[in-house]
Formats: sequence, structure tokens, C-alpha cells
Amino acid sequence: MKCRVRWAWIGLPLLIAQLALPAYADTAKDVQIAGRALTFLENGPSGHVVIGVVFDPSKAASVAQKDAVMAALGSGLDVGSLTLTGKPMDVSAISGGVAALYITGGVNFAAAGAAGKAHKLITISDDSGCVASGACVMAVTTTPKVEIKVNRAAAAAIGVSFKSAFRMMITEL
Amino acid sequence: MKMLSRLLATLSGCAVMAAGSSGLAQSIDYGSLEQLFNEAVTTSATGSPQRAASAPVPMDIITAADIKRSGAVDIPTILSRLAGVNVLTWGAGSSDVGVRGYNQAKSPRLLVLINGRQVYIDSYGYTDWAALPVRLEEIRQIEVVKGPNSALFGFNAVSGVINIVTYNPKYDTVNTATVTTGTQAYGGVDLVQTFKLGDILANRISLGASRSNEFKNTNDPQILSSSLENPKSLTASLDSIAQLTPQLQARLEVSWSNDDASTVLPNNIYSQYGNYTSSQRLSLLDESPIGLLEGSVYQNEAYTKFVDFGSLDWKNKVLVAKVQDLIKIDARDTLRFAVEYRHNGMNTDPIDTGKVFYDVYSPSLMLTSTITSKLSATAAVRYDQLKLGFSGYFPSYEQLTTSEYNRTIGAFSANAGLVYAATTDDTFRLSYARGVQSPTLAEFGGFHAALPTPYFTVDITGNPYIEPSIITNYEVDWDRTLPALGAKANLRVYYQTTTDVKGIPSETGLNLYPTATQLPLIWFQNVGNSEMAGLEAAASGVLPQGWRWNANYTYTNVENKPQPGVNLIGHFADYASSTPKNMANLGLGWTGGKWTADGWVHYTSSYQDFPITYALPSLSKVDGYATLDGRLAYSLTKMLTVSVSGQQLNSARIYETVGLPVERRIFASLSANW
Repeated sequence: MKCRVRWAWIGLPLLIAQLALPAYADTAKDVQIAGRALTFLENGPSGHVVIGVVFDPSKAASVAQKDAVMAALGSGLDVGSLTLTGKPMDVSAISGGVAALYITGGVNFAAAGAAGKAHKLITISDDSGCVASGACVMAVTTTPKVEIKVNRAAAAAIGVSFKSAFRMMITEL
Repeated sequence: MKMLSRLLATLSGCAVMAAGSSGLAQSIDYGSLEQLFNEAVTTSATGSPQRAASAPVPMDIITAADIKRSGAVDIPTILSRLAGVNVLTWGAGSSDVGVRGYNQAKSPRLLVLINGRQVYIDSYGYTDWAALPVRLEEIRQIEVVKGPNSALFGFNAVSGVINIVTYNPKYDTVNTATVTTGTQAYGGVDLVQTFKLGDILANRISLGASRSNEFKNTNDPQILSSSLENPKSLTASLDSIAQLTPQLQARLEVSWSNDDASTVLPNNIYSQYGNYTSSQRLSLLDESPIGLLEGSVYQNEAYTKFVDFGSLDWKNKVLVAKVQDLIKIDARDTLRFAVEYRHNGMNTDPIDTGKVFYDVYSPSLMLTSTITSKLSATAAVRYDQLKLGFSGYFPSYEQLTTSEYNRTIGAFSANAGLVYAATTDDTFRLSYARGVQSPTLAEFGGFHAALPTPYFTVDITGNPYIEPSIITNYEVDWDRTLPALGAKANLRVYYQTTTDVKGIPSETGLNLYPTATQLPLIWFQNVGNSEMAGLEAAASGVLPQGWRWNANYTYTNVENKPQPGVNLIGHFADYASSTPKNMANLGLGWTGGKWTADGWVHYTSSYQDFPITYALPSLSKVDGYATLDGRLAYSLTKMLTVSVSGQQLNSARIYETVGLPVERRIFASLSANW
């Protein structure tokens, strides 16, 4: 009996890890696709690119997603011609020095979007609401299939535009 | 109603806007877009880049992985495994591909392109598959559009469009060499090499050569040994892209091919055949503030010799110039505006006394609009104005005059489609298409012969009065993904009409009676109308442990509506009889470690065709048949793969057509990639 309990304790973290895996897997895919989308920017970045991962430390979901994004980026995620790395940023302390901002769930979109516009940074989220509100430039989701939405006004506000072929294949708002 | 008003308003606005633009093009990085969207990307539906799943036309895409696993040494074999595709294999190096019925020897209803450049032989509108200047290893994907799409592509795009998209040397590096040997003394060598000069110039060359023994004629005395020839082909191509500025690309595509084979003429007789082709295309692609601009000009030359039947020797030159603009004009609407000019000419033969030619001017417009998040609409229209001409003379014993060729033909093509994504798994497509099949140069007058009979001589000629065929297609499609099963499926149901079906000259009756000084005449002519209804069902998926599968079924029913008094059999135009009603394919594959294995079963039901004979035509039954193909491959190293493949493993010989029996073939290949 003791033996069974011991094995159960060992199995529990594995079970939790398994349950958590889909969320991490989706975040990893979202980040990868978001990175690829950056390669379709006119005069976009190249080589090593740092993404600011914006989170709200008071919200567990936001922190968890930040951790997932940072894990996905790891020491350098290669997507096309880019190598992406991440830099965690508290929503109240968004700064420049990065190529784009990835806004995690639960963050105040308006505040993050305003900071992005102030620093002329492209803002990305997996929440369509952020793009619909005009706070984010781009929303990327990959489940059940890849969907990319771009807010044209938000993009124009920071002076970025995407290549024509890309624009014809996404949803623009 | 609101939607309609909005669509009309956008269309009218676009027309004004586009009127001031000049030319367009698309330099599409298929690889990056595929990786981005995790699905195939195409431009063959509307000219605009699209995810294949949301294209407004019925389309199948054969990927490079499919091609690699096919075990095939030619494109028709790969195409034959799709729903709705029928392949007539006349010999070891000669076949005709039909999409949705109406297949026949030298079928002129299919538009075949390489990177959007036509590669069919324009004198008679057929495709010499062995002469296509492309190696299987350099193909990124083959896009097969079913049904008319001449609003985008122009003439010949009536039964379907096959656009062969190669890797782009700027974005893709492909270096391969393959050596293949096989039964029928088959030997083939392919080489594809990409080389780049910095970021400015990227090039890919490909070279290929193959030869084989012809299938044996076992018992048909009408197939003369002098009409048969062992097939052999040589091809070479160059694809160069120069990045002139960050926004401006220039692309040069040059190709050359030479092949010999036994072939079958439209009147179902075998002939030794030789074909030399060359092509040069220069394109400029500009990512401009007013959209993707493209200007391109290309010239194709084909020197074709049919040794039998009067020793035809045709020289055909086509010049095509096109400017196009593709622009997303607002958040929801993409517009394509193009103007195309085409000059097409050939000599008359075997009586070589002149040249028949035409000039075509074609404006076209396409609008695709996202109406709601679930509903999109596409409308495309094109107008072709064809000015026919003839230079040279007709001998005085003939009843034709050059002035009869001063003729202008105008015709509209149209495509319209609604795509409705009802759920995340279900997409419905409703489409309408009106395609125009222009008569070919040979049908207008390039074919020009005098045939002696025991009693008198008959002129056999093209016809300056022949009308284009109009093909109208109505279709409903349902695509469904089955994520739980790792599968997807589609069902396509269509109804199609063809008016002014064309037929070849018939020896069963004269078109013009003889005069005191002139010969009687028979010519190419319109023979009536035709209707077709069809259904295609297909499914494919992946299973655990490296397994994959696909299956499809095709039902096609053609009804003839001949003009009163016209004998369709005499004109080789009895498509109701010559179109198989049922076809099916089943494929199963597995990859594990270094091994890859694939197998395919194909079935075609019985049909009737015109037997190989110099006598008056009749119909002969071709029994239904089934074939089993397979491939087994082993990766020796990361660079080297060895494979064995077989076609028609289940039988040494099968009569798949009225011609030579198709023989079992086995190939062994060694491929290197670096």
C-alpha cells in the first residue's frame, strides 16, 4: 500500500504536467507563428530579435502565460530568418529596447497598447479582443487552425505595414 | 441585399481605382506562407495568394512529399491518383490527362502551366507531358483546379487547370541528383542544383534525360510497327531571380526540351512523334504602394512532327505579354486587374502554303471580398477578343480563301464563388464558372491536307468559321475536417454544360461539295452540345505509428446533344461513350525510421473508344481495370535514399485504352540530396 502511495506522489506531478501540456503547447505554437508573422513586416526585423513579454504580476494566469512564452522562446527560437528571445516586462514598466510586445492574457490591454504605441512597438496577443479594441496590432491563434488578425489603425499608428501577400491571407480590422 | 450592394459598390470603386494602375505580379514565398498557416497555399484559384482550404474553386494540391513518395517517373501517373482525373496511357512515354471527363487523344481542354506559364502545345492545345521542362524533384506542388477557370487563365482552362509550381530559388534551396533504372530498359537521370550569388541573384538549373522501350504490340494489326518509337526525352531549365531593390524582383525562366515517342493522334491512330520546345520568360515583380505589380512577357516555340498521317510538321510560336495589379484595397477586399496580349501562329501543314495566326486582347478583373468572418465571395470576369488572320495562299483547287480568315471573335469568361465556413470543421463552397475554349490554330486552319481516296481526293482543313466552345459549370462542395481522426474529407457535386462541342473532320460526310475546279472538303466543326453531371468524394488522413491513407471515388455521366444529322462517332466526339463513369483510388502508406512504404490501388470502369484503325471510326469496348502500384524506400544516409517502385504490379499487361496494352513497370532509384 505504501508503495502505491509513493508511486502516486511521483505520478501526480507527471499528471499535472500532462494536463498543463496542451496550454503550453498552444502558447509555444502561438509564439512561433507570431514570430513568423513578424517576417512579413515591411522593413521588418532580422537576425536576433528580442520580444518583450508583458504580464501582470497580480494575475496568476498572466504570469503562467508569461512563463510559457519564455519557455517557448528559451535561449533562442529560430523562425525563418529570425532568432527570437524573450524579456519579461511588468505591464506597469514597459520600456523600449525590444522589437515587439507579446501581451499575455489578463493584462490591461489598453495600458499595454498605449505603452506599445508610445514606444512604436508592434503589440501581439492571442486574444482577438485586444486587436478588436485597437490596443494590439496583431492577434495570433493556432487552434484549431492558424488565425491572424491585424488592426490596420493600430498598425498605422506605430508606422508598420505588412507585405501584400500576407495581408491578403489574414483578417484585417 | 446589403451584402450585394456592398459588393457592387466595392466592385465599381475598384474598377475606377484599378483603371489607373499598370500591371501586377506575385512573388510568393510559398514555403514561408505554408509554415505560417500550416497548410498549403495557392494562387491558382484567383491569382491572389490564398489558403487552399478557403479557395473559391474546387482544387486539389499534390505536395512535394506526395510526389517523392509516389514512385512515379512522370506527372500523369501522379495525377491519376486524384479524384476526377482520367489518364489515357497510350505508350511508355505518351499519355493524355483529362479532368472531369471528355478525355481523348491529344485532349485540348486542359490548361497546363509551370509557375503560371503555359506549357501545353498551342497548335492543338494538347500537353506533351514528356516534354514538360520540369523535373519531379524541383516541384513544390501541383495545383489541380477542377472545372473552368478561364476568367483567370484564358483559353484552354475549361475542364481544369494544372499549375506546376516549382521551388523558388530565392527562397528555397534544392539540390538533388537521381539515377533511375527499370524494366522496359528504362533509364533516367535528373539533376537539380540551386546556386546563389549573395542576396542579389538566385538561380536553379535542372537537367533531365530518360529513355525506355515502347510497350509491345501483342495482337493489333492496325498498330503498325513503323508507327511506334521508343520514347526518349531531354529537358533543361533555368530559373533566375534577381533582387533589384528591396521591393523589385526580376525573374528569368528559360527552358528547352526535346522528346520522341509513339503517340496517338486525335483520330486514334499511332504515329511516331518528335517535339522540340523552347521557352523564355522575363517577369518584373514590384511590391509597390498600389499593390503587387507584375509585368511579364514570354515566348514559347514548339516544332512538332507527326510522322504518320501526312507527316505533319508544325511550327508554333506564342508570344504572351501581361501586366497585372493585385491589391488589397481595404480591410476586406482584394482586387486583381490584368491586361494580356497574345500572339499565336503556326504554319499550315502538310500542305505548307501559309500561316494561320491570331491576336488576342484580354482585360480581366477579379474581386474577392470577406463579407463576414464566415463568408467570403469571389467574382472574376475576363473578355477575350480574338482577331484571326491568314498569310500565304490556298491552292486554286481548294475552296478556302484567305479573306475568310478576317474574323474577330469576342467572348466573356466568368467565375463566381461563395465560401461559407459553417463551423470550424465544415466549409461549403458554391461556385459558378463560364469558360471559353477557343478553337486551336490547327482547328482554324493549321491542319491542311489533301487525302486521296480510291475515287477522288478530299481536302481536310481547319475551319475559319468554327465557334468557341462555352463550358458552364455549377457546383456545390463540402469540405470537412475530422480532427479526432486526423482526417479530412470532401464531397463535390457538379453539373456542366458545353455548347458548340468541337469535332475533328469526319470522313462520313462532306462539308463542302466539289465544284468543277475545286475539291470536296471536310473540316473541323462544331457538332452540338453536351451535358455532364458528376460527383467526387475524397478523404485522407494520418494514423498513429506513421501510417497514412487516402481514398477517392469519382462518378461522371456525360450526355451527348448532337446537332441534327451529325454523326458524333465520325467526328470522334462521342464523349458519352468515351468517358468512364466510375473511377476510384485507395492509397496506404507508412513511414518508420529509415523506411517508407506506399501502395495504391486504382480502378477505372469500362468505357468505349474508337479503335485504332484507318477505316471509318466505330466504337469498341475497353473493359474496366484495376491496377496496384507501390514504392519502398530506405534512407541510407541523410543524403542518400534508395527506392524500388512498381506500376501495375498485379498484371503483366492490361488494355487500359484501345491502343497498346500497358505493361507492368518496375523502377529502382538512387537519390542524393545536398
